[in-house]
Amino acid sequence: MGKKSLLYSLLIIPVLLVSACQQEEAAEEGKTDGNEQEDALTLDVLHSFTGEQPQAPVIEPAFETFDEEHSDINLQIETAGGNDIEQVLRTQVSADDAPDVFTHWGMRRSESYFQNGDIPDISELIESDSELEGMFREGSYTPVTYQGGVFGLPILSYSYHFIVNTEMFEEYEVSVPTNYDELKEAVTTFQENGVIPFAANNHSARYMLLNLFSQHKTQEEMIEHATGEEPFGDALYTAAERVQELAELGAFPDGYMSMESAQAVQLLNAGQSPMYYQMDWTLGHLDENQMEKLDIIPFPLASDGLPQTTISGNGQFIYMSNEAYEDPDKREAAWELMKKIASPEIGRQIIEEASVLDLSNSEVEFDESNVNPILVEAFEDQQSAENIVPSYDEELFASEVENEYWPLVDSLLLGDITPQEFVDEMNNIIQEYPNVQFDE
Amino acid sequence: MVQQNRWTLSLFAIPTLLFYLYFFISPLTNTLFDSFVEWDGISDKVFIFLNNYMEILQDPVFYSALLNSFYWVALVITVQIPIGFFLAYFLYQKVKGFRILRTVYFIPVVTSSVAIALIFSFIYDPIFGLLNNTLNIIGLGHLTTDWLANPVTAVTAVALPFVWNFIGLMMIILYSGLQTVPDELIEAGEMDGVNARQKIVHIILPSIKPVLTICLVLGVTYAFKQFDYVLLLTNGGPVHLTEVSGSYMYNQGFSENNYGYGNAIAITMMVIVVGLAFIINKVLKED
Repeated sequence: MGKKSLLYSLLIIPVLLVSACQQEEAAEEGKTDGNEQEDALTLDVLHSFTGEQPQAPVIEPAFETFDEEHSDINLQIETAGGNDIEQVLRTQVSADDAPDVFTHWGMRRSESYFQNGDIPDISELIESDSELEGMFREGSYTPVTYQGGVFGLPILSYSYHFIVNTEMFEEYEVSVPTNYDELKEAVTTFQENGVIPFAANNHSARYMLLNLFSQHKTQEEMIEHATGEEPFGDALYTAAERVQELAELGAFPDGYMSMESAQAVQLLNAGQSPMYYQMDWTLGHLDENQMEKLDIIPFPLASDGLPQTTISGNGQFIYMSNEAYEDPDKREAAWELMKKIASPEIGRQIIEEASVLDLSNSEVEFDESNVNPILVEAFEDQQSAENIVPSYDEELFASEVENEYWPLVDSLLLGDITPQEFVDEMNNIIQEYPNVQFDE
Repeated sequence: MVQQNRWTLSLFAIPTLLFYLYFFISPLTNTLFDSFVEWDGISDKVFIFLNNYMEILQDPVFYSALLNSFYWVALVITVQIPIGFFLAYFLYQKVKGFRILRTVYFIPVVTSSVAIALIFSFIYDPIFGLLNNTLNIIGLGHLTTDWLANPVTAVTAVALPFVWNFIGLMMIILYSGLQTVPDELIEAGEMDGVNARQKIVHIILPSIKPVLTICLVLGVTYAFKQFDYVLLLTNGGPVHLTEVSGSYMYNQGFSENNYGYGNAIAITMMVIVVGLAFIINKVLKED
């Protein structure tokens, strides 16, 4: 027993000594780091680009690189993936502990922060910074413009694209649709052949409705409807009627109401559906082996003579908190960080490395040979559009309208309400919650 | 001396009492207070007294969610507890390998609801799902449907993972109850010539009535609290078809930032659950 104890002691003592020495070294290093960090200004950052988010491989390292490059600034980064950020931010703001810099959506989900002064008007910073002149495409600030002020910098755009599998169209001898009648014909033929016409979920269907409607409208006219200046009328009625007709014809797969966007794309990848209409971030999920068969074409026209319309705008922004803005040192550091994340360089990386078509930045230049070919097609589709309009639910509707609008479109698609009831209900909702962002 | 001891004992109870007040009573009071306000989580709270409750009374979605919650409760009573009981009774017979079986039956209880929801979403998928594919293979293709969107099947399809999840819990509670049934009582019954059904109905079930009461109260409470399966499988859709009161409360509070209304739903649910628990206790006690 005595020998055993001696043996254990001989083994344990050196281990303890080594680990103690290592801890002492670590403590010394910590002291040095601590001294450096003591002088550094700390910025609390909250962003949503983590985990499975397609932009995460670019944006997460961008924050880290900024932190490494600025010894005078120490970033305390917190992440909340996707929609989770909404609750995390709301909790922090209501606890008077808002992050100094954070990413979030535009007006539709940030309106109350603008109203309460939690996010400051940064118009002066934008105007006084020559680097930002012409950096963003026209209309980029619209979702963060609120009653005369500008509250954030755009970091990510969105756009919707119509993709067809040309091989399947040839196989079933269907012509690629250019107008609604041809689209209806294609849906019917595919249905009769046991093919699910659209790889779609209810979001896709909602955006088809919006595209069919907005072909009749300019951006200004769409704003007039959102602010309640002009009630919705025939254009929305016809669009609602048509999208309901498509649903009745079986254009969408079973379960499309509860399907995730990434799930819907699998139908296109599996060659089970020849048509697809979705947001650009899903393009990165397309199967590379299918690329040769896929073409991006303009969404079919509601009737001949209407302009080729693309739904596109800015969806994500970077903000600083009011507390950071009030502190001159923090304001300067936060502004530098915001500009870095909104810069053309990050825009280029998002396109080339994350395969997401970010067009918020007009100065961004990307190498087409480094890019997923479907993104190049999406880019060309965007450039050739005669009418570019923003999404109602991404940009123009007040947040209360969004909560009602989505289930209302679902009811329309399920046939629970008629197109006329849909239009009437939309007018009632807008009357109750008009967009007030353009009020001075 | 006795008086002094009481004071000392009370003094020792203070930390626990404070802990309970801070972590249990204070959030409840907060919820009650917030149910009387209009609040989006950021702006100032506006006291609107009973307006949220008046709105609940006129809200058709709340009624439909409440009805779905009651349907879940019905599934607890008719499916979850009976299956839990029969599994417990099966184990009580000390069949070979009952210890392993007990663990196996209990596994769903300790499995994350996210994992369970994921499994069921694979089963229900209308195109690639196991259920529809199996039906097609065995020649019952006409029965295939979109399980989570079809108005006939959706509510049941969302409730099934919850029912399955907690069968093991009911089993373990009832199993512990079965251990307390005196052997003499069963032996006496057997000597009187009772058959298996009579033994269960007239001897075992009356003997484990207090445990059955616990199962019922727990089942009802869990059914009303549930929102994760709804959120993960359908998010209450399509058009609130699968909404239960728990998911509606969550969506009002956390998705639509309507915290006052969400809190009012929480208080309403609490009153309903306490009422149900009271009725269950009363009925089973009177029996």
